[in-house]
Amino acid sequence: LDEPDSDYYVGDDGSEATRQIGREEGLKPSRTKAQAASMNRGRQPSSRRNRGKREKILKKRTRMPAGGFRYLAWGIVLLVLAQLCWLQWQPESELRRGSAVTMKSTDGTTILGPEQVDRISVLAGSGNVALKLVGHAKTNPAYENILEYIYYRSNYALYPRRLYVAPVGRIIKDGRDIMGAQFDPTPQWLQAHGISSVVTVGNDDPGGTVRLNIQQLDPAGMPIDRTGDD
Amino acid sequence: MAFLACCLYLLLITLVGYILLSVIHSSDRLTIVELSTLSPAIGAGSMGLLLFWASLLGFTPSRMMLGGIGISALAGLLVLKRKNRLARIRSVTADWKGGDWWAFVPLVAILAGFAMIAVNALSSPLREWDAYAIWGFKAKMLVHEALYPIPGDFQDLTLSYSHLDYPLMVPFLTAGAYAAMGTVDDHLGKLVSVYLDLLLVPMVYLGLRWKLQRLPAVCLSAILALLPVIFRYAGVGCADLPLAMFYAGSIFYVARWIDQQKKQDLILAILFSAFAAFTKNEGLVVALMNGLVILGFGIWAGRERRWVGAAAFFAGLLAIDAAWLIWSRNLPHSHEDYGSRLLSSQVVTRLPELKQIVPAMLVQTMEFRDWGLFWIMAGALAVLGLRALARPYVLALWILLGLHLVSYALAYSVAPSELPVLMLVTMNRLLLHAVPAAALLAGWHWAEVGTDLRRSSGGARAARLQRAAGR
Repeated sequence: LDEPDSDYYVGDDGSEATRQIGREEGLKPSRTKAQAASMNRGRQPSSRRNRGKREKILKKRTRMPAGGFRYLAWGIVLLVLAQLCWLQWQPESELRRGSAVTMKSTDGTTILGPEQVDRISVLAGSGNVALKLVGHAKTNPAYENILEYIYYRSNYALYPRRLYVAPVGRIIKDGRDIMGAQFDPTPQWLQAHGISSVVTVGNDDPGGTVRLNIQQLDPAGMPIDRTGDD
Repeated sequence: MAFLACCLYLLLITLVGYILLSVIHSSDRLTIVELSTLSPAIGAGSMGLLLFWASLLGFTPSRMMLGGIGISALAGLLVLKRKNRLARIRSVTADWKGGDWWAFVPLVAILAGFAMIAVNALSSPLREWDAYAIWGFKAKMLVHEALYPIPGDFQDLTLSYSHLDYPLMVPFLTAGAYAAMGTVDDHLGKLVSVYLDLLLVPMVYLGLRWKLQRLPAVCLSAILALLPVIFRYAGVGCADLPLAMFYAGSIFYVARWIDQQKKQDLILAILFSAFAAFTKNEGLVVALMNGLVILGFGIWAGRERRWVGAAAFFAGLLAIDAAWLIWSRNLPHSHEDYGSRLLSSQVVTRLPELKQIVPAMLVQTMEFRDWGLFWIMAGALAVLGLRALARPYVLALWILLGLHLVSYALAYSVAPSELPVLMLVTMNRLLLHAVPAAALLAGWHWAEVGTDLRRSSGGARAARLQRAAGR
């Protein structure tokens, strides 16, 4: 491994700091200013560069013994290290949460897990899919997040097929836009866009669980039968 | 079999990086940490750009393409070997002092954290919303369709949620893994994410080790590796940690360039800045800031070479990212479109929002469940080693960190979304981008605390003094 840049510890101008360290290491104290400067990669001290402030700060005396500061710094670092280890050990830590998701294969942040939404791509046949809202899903803002989630996740799982939630060209950036689109495609539209299934989301009971219903369509865009229900 | 293919792909990335590193550090002897960090990091950035350029020519990532890159890399390796220009591992390393053996304790903590992140990542599909809605979705698009002609999906407004104008580094690297595996498997595809995300820690270690002894450098790296927010976002398939990793490399080499004016440092600063700009839109902003700081310190020093350095930086950045900037300029921007908003009068009219944003950022740094005491520690070390402010490269890094945070605060101020909700969801991720700068500053200030740190480097210094006396 690399040594820290040794120049860092040399007074840039061959000043007392430089000579003092040299004496500590048993070297000749007769180092000239020019020699000391040459050790600093040939740079001459430039008053323009630091206007004398750098040397002043470097030579600044502190009241507390330097060793005290050093121990204080170590104490802070070790305290933080110990605190982070303790944090990771806590039941609600990110580490534990990640492990729980891995072990149980569930996603606590959503009502529907990714595996459940990904079933749409399996049940939807080989074509594109359209999403229709029914009941409270059309108006209840509580559905915004779940609609957003179903749209993003299904589009990912279906690709290169698509889940349509709005007419082409409409900007969809979140669940509110999906609700606002009031998407109700005609059989002709479904046929023109290669839709092989329609997913309906919603529930007539405002407090009920979200229901996903997948219905396959014939080539003319008309329903065949019900093929899936979550 | 797919796992093996994915590992071979990562090996290819590392090989490409090693060759480029050998070109930059021709015949130099590098430490094993430098080689094992810079090779994958440079390789990842270069592979992402290579796949992007190939896609612009109409080629989607495929095994044949990766094979071609592999054969070219091997040929390059042979040529460099014959010319004796390969970067080599430095055999004589710094002595291990008595206390250095304690470094194994934080090192074990780092490796245990890495193992947990890798296991968690590889045992589940993409779960993070941004990971599948933006990055994973685009990876699927890119492995399926080339960028020329522009695919319809990149202009479809119903896909606005996936931020069609976002840079494509992570999607291309993931698409490369899918191509290598011959299938779209997002369990194994997350190996790329793990590989990129975890590089952040050794990258920051490199910067810390520049000024710190082994033990304190490893301790600070362990603190970085154990941050809850790292566990939250590592291996999930998002671009935040890759951005932080490239950013870490860029600011470290910008600082070294300001301190030493070695051309290798400037080249690496250009490369990492360009990679960051191709990873996230925030990366372009920080890349430009890097250039401005190089320029500013060049003007301050009044040296011609530093002017040249700034000019070379901007030219290099533009050359590497030009294709992306040109190709993406006609893509539909998302409703956020921070670039346009930050250049409009909104920046001025919405300045009062900062009264809400700055306190929220400060509160976020105190959020123990995300950061522990990290930010407080960084501040305390900065105070204890205040003298480090006299070093131009430390000052440069403070300026970079300040500009970085100011740019994020301004971005929040012009955000179209509801500010409290937006900050709640994104603040920890955005501060994560700035963590490398904070960690490096903590370390470089720590190096100035007390006099014993000076003595601890006495061996190397004494050797240097003796060499100088001999001359």
